[in-house]
Amino acid sequence: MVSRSEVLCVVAANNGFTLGIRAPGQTWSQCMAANANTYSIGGATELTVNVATGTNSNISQTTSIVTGNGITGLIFEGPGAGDFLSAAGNGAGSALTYGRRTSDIMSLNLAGSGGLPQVLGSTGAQGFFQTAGKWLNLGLDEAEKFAVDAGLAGAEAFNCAIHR
Amino acid sequence: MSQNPTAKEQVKSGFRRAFGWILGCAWFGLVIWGITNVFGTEANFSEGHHPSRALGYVLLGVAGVIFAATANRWKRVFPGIMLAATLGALLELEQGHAVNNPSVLIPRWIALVQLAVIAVVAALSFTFKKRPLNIVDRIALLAFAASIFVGGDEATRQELPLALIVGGVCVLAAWAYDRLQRRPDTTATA
Repeated sequence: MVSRSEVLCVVAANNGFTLGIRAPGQTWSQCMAANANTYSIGGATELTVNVATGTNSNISQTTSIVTGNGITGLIFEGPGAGDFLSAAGNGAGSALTYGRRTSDIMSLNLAGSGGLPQVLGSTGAQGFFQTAGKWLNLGLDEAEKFAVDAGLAGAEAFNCAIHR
Repeated sequence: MSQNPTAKEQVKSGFRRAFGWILGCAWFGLVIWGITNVFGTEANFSEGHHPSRALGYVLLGVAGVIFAATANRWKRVFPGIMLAATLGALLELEQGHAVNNPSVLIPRWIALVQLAVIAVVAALSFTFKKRPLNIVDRIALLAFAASIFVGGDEATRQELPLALIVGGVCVLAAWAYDRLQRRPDTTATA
């Protein structure tokens, strides 16, 4: 009997489609550090432009203070991990394919009846939560860049969990 | 949007925000393509591709016009981007290298200058979000955006990010200009 993973491997082989980006012998943390630039707004955009236009640039490293991924930058740091070419090579074919599936970029809190805390609607806590909700909404715009970074970090963490 | 948005409105809002970020990335891609064409060499292009200075300047011009024309649309995320940039500047100061790029070393004193400029602009960015932007604001923000590219290049070459300082001063001047414009005329009431 053919297992599901074997079927996936066959499909992957036929399409030249790789899910994992972790090199043999590389730890998960090393993989996260090595691919941090690719999984940032600047790095992912630059890689897309380079592939689409046949160019080879590393402009995103000069704008990394703004376009870099602060979340992976905060947690992962490794020697020699900043080599753009190796980072691009490790992430090629994965970042663009899987980055778009980071649904946590969008926080969709659905309104309407049913679902979450209905009991609060009949208590004095309703006012508190309405006020808290307003304050949280005030920070929504400010949190968007961090949400995008978190989505990219999540995609990188997922892909680094799987060996090439 | 109403005080209590429906599920449909919230879904629309979510997609609108996500689409906005995709457009932002497309704009950034336009700038990268333009810079590569203007300042790049044959080494930056694969076989069969060549740099075109004219195309590069056109792309950068278009990107500049889009940036200034749509400022009132993207200004709501400007403080968030600057807060993330402040975190990036703190990381550079602490780690001594560019964010996500350990091979690009940044001296601590340069990182400190970057942090000072970015923090000031981050604080001012909240005032930009609250008001309609005039032509002075748009030009100042465009100058600041350009200074991030030029100043970042200076920092990676371990030079004083003079361009970033100039860009920060432009934002500060635009903020001061707006404050002066809004100041009530005391002589008129006398």
